Amino acid sequence: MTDHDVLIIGSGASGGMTAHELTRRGIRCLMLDAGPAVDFARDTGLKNVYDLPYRGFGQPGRFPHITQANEFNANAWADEKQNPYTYDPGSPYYWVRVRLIGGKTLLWGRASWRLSDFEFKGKDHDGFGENWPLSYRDLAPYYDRAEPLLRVSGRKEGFRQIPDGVFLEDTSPDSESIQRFLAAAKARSIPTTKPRRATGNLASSVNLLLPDALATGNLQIVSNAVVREITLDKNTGLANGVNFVDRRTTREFHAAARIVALGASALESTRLLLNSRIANSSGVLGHYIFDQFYVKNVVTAIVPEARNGKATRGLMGGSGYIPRFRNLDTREKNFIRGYAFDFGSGGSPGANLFPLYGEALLKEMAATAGTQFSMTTMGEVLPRQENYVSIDPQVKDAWGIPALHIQHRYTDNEFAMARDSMNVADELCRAAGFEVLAKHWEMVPPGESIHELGGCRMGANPKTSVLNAFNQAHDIKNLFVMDGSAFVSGGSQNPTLTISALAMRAAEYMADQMRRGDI
Amino acid sequence: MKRRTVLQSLLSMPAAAALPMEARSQQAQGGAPANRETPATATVGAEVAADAIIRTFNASQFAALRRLGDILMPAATGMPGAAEAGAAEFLDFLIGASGTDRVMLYRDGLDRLNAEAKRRYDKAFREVTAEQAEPLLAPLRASWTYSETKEPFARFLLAAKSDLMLATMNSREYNAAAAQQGRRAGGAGRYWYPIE
Repeated sequence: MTDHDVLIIGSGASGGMTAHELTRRGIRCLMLDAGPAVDFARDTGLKNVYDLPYRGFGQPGRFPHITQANEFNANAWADEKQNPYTYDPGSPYYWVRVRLIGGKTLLWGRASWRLSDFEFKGKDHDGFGENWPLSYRDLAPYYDRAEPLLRVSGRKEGFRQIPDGVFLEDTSPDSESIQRFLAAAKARSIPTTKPRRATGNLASSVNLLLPDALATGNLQIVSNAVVREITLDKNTGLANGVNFVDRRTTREFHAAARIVALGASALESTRLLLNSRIANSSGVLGHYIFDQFYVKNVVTAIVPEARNGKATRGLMGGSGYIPRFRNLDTREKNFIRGYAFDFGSGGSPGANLFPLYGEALLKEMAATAGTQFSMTTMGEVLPRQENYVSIDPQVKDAWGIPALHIQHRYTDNEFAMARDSMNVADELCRAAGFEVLAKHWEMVPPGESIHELGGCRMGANPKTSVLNAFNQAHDIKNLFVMDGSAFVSGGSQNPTLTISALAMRAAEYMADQMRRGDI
Repeated sequence: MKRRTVLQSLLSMPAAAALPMEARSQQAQGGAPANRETPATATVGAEVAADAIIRTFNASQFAALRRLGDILMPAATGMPGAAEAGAAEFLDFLIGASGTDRVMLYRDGLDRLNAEAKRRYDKAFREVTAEQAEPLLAPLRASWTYSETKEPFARFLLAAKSDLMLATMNSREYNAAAAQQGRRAGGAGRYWYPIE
């Protein structure tokens, strides 16, 4: 049997980056992923919506928690019956998973914003929670390297809350409707910028990270490997590998390695540690989970000049971003931290927004086609000890592995932010001369943003954290958790870029420790 | 004209050649396969060749659903409506495949339409005019709210409006008609096959 230096669990943003960084340093890695590899030519193809069995509605009841699933991409999401989890009936949690090589990077939204010391040193700023055991300065060099790998485009603005990076400069012009919106924001001292996002037809670990790692000859990938538990050497207490199940046959295997690096996603890595009953001397494992709340289409408006197909060339189209602007230099009365907005010009309002039916509705839909301006809020969810995951002793997955119970509730801080965001969005749209059709401040259920974070948070103190500042378990020095479970707080920025940069930094540290013989 | 006949006639028109799947399928049936050793056998969907059997709704409920489709999603500007698109027939299948709550929402809502039509006009809902239907459909004139209304009949009407429109716009018939007009509708997308 081949010996491997590092066993990597998961192949998405963190697992992929770990493999990318270790293999180029000559370190032999074995990667296990619970799902199969996608052959895009064989496994995907164009179809008309009317050729789908359910005319685009999707099979009823197949994905009760995955609002992103549609009938086209249904087979890309993890099956909820095979991969169950539980929550209290009054506190639903939408856990969205992809079990394919590449993980969620196959389907992510690609927004790539840096965190800042408003997050890394959040406690210093407002007294809540804990600081990260690292600062923006520590992570900045890794952001600098991760952004080109992900081919991030954006515009440099000099904003403290979303530091500039090394990205393809977005010099595209703004449409007239976007310019009107930007002017309304500027008049209120609200910052705006272009989207920052990974570019290319596909922006996944399967095309940006894993090919380079495989090309070194130092990476083997085992697909359909559902990891049951991490195993320890009885004499040393160190991790010596994992037990896993073949997804298709249920045949059991053990893979050995000198170091184990988890990158299975925040909640899956936490679940694996809980099922392995390790790395929890602090009692913090599983706690302080959070994500980012979304208020989807917090405001839907139309640009009146575009009605009845009268949009002039250049009036509609384009998108942008409002970074956090609350609680930077001033203090809000009702909440701490802040939220961001995505906004976009174009598209058509849904039929449900019009109190009409029949010909009158069809006429109104025709008149408003292509006139839409919409905004979505993305807000920080505070990490709290009482939001946690644990093992549900009553429920197991299709391979007999105990499932997670997830306990997560929004609190007044999130509700206050959501309401504030609706009022701001409404004011901005009206000031831009748009006609507001609908507004609301109902947050999606926790988890739905697919930005689940925490559960193995890092920290300087082993009594209050699971990992050190380099994603290394305090309790087991050859065990690393490379993914979003290490986050101490998350801000309102989409987390994948930070997950990538942290994994890169931790992998570099791991390689250095290996070279020194410390692990 | 039967819905199947409408579809067959739409697909036989020259512009339908632009349709990627069905038109190709039709053409392939008329011509020799390109490869006789490993041919891709052309087939058509069941809806093209056969009538759906109605299983979820009884006769009066289904008739009310078809009439509701006529009113909420009529044929207009050369595009088929719910009737031509077989939306009610499709919803009989879709709702039947859904949970009990949704089945009952529809059955109770359709029964309510029939009962209200009987009370007001002494006839079934399938026989009411669009003007006569207006007071029955008043909940659809209410302003949009994010939270779903708790009133079952209003919830039924809002669901039926949305479902009938989508079932129509995503139908073969609607897409074929849109292609005739040089427009795209419903749409195509990258489909993920089951991955092993």
